[in-house]
Amino acid sequence: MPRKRARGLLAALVATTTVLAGCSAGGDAGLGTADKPVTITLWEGFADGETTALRDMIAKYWTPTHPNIKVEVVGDKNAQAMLTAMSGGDAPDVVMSTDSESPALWFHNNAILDLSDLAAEIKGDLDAKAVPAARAWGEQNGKVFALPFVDYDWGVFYNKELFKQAGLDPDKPPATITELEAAARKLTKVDAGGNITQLGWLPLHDEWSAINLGMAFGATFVDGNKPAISQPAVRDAITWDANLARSYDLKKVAAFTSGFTKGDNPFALGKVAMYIDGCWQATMLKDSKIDFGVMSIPASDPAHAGATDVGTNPIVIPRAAHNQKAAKEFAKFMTLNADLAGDFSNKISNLPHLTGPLTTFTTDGPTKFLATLSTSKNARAWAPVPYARMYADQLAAVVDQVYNGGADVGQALDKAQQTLTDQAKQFQ
Amino acid sequence: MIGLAFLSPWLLGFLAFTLYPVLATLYYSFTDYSLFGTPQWVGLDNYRELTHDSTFVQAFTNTLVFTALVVPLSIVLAISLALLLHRPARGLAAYRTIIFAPSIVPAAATAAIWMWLLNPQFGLVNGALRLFGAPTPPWLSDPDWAKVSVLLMSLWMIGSDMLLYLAALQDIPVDYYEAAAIDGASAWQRLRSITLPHLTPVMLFQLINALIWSFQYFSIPYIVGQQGQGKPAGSLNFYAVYLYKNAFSYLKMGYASAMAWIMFIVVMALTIIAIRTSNRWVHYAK
Repeated sequence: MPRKRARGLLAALVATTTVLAGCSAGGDAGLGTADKPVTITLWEGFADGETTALRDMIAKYWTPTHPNIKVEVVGDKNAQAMLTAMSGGDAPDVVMSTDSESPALWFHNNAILDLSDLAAEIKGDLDAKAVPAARAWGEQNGKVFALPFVDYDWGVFYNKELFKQAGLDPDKPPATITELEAAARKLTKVDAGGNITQLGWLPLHDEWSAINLGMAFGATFVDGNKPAISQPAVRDAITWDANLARSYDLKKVAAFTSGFTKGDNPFALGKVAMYIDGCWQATMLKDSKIDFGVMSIPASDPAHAGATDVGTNPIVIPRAAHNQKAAKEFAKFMTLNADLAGDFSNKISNLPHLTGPLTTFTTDGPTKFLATLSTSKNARAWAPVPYARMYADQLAAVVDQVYNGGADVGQALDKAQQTLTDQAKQFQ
Repeated sequence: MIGLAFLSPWLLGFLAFTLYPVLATLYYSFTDYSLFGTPQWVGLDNYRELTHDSTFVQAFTNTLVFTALVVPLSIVLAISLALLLHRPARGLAAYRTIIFAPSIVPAAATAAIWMWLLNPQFGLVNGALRLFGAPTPPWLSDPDWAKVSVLLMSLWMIGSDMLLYLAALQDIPVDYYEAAAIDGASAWQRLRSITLPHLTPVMLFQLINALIWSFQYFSIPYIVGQQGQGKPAGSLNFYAVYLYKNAFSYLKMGYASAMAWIMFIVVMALTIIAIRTSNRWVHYAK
């Protein structure tokens, strides 16, 4: 009898598991009908306010024309949550990656769908309207796996008031590295104790500042699909920047900069005159009392003028998504609707990924400038390869070793090159 | 069978959500696995690669140094605070609350507050030190001082450990102290021969907890080290942070699993040593 009971218990467990599995799996509900609309889930990594803005945008632009496909937006999802969901059987239908770099790795590992057919369907529109640089983040070896959705790029923010105080013309900011260095020296102030009280140029402090200064020196970062971190342009950019910082004593510079967090930007406090940052600062700095301007990163050579890394918020569809047809319809709409692109860019201080007369996009000077910069000939996706996240970390480590650990630029880059070459082999 | 049926909700949960994942990570540690697709058996390759990975060695060393500092200091500090707050005094409840409160502050908020306080040039701590003409350490900009900064942040959250010792202190019979006083024992002798021996079971508990916790220390080094970059100069590249990056930034789940098992073995070994030696220094009330 006990054996029979055990069998019964086991059978009940199997049945329950099967029913639960059935509940979570489900089939593709197509594009829905008026009687039976389909609901798709969208996961993204924006904070509360931005998620609310995205919901508003979807309600404003998508819902009136697509009543049969309802979209449930779930925000504040980090990469860990996204990956866990995508690897399980209950993935969201659409994912907006929190960074530009990850989708190539996800695609390489078969986590997201090949969207080449969808991209081919809208190729004409994308070719005519989309910012070319950001599209690169969703393409590998002729296949498309992510569609662009509102972009970002980088420029040099400068304090006009400090320029005037130093006898510099705020309407003619430096255009070359030589001019940048001269301005930086004029704008730096050191007290009697040797402590820096105002920095003309904020030295490289993370991977993004290194990437963008590197691009202004002509860095390409990848040679085909292979890493090229130790190329001369990267070496020259970091060497120039580190030498400038060393002339004020790296320890003094570190003491000045290390305590600042994202919340108390030294530029917004009037302590730094020029620095590299993303387009979102053009909006955020409006809350400060700083009279600022934005310029493209001064280049080492006129051929590299207007260089900037263009990123996006890539839209991907997990392989385990339940409603792939509706998800593709939604992804297509989001990437092609210019009014939505302009409107949402304003809400989250990003830039439209579509060009042309965007009536909904801001006319604010610095943001407009950065939007135009994202379409320049030297605006690029810095390293659209599957190992880009690791590459960015290696670059950050090089900057850290040089500025905080006293390492030699060449040796640090050579070591990073070796690490990346080893790791990139699996992706060749 | 009825007993098993009553036990089955927990048993199923344990098998599915604890035992299976633990054994799965052991298997994954011998594979090339990205979280997607089929794991590819690679034998000991992940473990071999770890021995050549300078970032792993750095993370392991940083975590060991931090553990060696934070575990004894947290025990000494928690006991000291408990002894102070055990004495009758006016406003005792307020003092206890003040010491306990930081332990319920989220790690992210703790990191943000201390990064502001420890700003080498504009922070309140160095501002106060300057007032007294004392030297001002480069808290967050120097690799050695950055570890000290993180240590301070951790010790600031010692309140819950202090509470355990406070409870243990209240459990010591007053008779022992009275007898010791009659025998003419000094305060130091009473502390050494009565109080501390009675606290040793809690010390053992805190020691093991602190060992596990320090190897898994993540949030504060992740935030203070600038989103897991380990700055300055890799000094805040901690074990759990590097494990997380391998798992979720690089999708090297097999490699991360190998790291997790090495961490498990080290923590288990240290825990066994602590338990095996405990009969020499832990005194249980008879």
